[in-house]
Amino acid sequence: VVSRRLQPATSASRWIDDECALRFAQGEQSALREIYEEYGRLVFSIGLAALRQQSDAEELTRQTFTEAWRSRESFEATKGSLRSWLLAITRNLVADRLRRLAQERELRRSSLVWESVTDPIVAVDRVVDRVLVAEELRKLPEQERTVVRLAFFEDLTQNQIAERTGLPLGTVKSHLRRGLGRLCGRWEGRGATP
Amino acid sequence: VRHLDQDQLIDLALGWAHPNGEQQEHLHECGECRGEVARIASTAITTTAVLREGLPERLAEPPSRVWSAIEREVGAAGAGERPRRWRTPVLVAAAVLGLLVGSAITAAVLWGRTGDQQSAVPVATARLAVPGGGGGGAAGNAELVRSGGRQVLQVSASGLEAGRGYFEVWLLDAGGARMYVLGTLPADGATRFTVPDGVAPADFPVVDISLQEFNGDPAHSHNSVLRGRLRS
Repeated sequence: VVSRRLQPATSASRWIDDECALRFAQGEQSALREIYEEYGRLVFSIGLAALRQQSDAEELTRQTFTEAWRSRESFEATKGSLRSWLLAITRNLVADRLRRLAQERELRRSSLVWESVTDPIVAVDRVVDRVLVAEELRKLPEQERTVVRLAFFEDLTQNQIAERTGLPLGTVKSHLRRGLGRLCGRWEGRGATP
Repeated sequence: VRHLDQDQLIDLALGWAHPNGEQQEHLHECGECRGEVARIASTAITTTAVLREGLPERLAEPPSRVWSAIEREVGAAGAGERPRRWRTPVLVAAAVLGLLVGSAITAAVLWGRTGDQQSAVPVATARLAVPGGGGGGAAGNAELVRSGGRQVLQVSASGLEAGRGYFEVWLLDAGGARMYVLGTLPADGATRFTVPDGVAPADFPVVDISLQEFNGDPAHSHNSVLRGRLRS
């Protein structure tokens, strides 16, 4: 059965392979280094976007990877991608930090502590979402990115995109579908083979 | 059921086409297709926002001191060992340390019973601090353990002044909107509560101690004197 869902095209080299994830789960520190090489910048960028302070973003990155290391047993390579597991840790830490900040602000204002402190996880997800979309956009092949840009930034229809670029309509459609597929798969990370 | 195909889903999500009667009917009934349309639409909205902001050329690079700090920390935790071998001792050590940090009274009350000490399995701990900082040295600890098939919250606090009131211990959800009262904290600042099995600590992770007035009102006074989050 072919899934109808838009699938991100897989590029095996792009995601940490299972072998590394396995070594990580078994407690090999060299694997943690590889994972940091792969995702350190992503986590740090999320920190910058969400917390806005360089020092907070550094602290978030440190916490994310030490926390990942500490709880590596809870990661099972077979169940999901390392990337989404790492992202879950990141967003929880960001949310914790924002909650604390909101709480401190709130306490300075009144003694009625909790009422107006809304759960920041929604705001965190929005920020993370943007960082992930930007990252996927950067990774798109040139032509796909152009088509996506024309569709979403210039607000053109597929016919208009075909006219503007001189690409056949079928090519525009398939570029857009593949591009959207990658963008839609931004949270899962590792896409199923199309 | 004939689902909508990818092109149709995209067209509908991006507003390039309006659903005809048949499609409308299908969308009404099919959560899967509705979900796909919503997923594509939300992706499109975020993509537009990102492109409007100007796509940065690359991800930001953390300075090298970040990795050095990580390496120091995980290196100290026991490099290369099998996780199973060190994890349990570390948990126990953390629990013991938490108690040492708390008052001496606590240690006596909580761990004076040898039977409990052997059967209690630490699940999560919380450092309790004055919300917002400050507060003249009041502090506390909470530890959730599984003991004899029940979940038990051990709470200790020091430096609290009850004045003309009394202390009550609560479990709050992360947003602080819902809560369970566990009971009163006695004057010696340490006690244990059975947490009903229906209350999942993951959903109510915040331990809160309130200063209540003797006014017969069972609600939280909104005067929290100590608070902390349970972490496993």
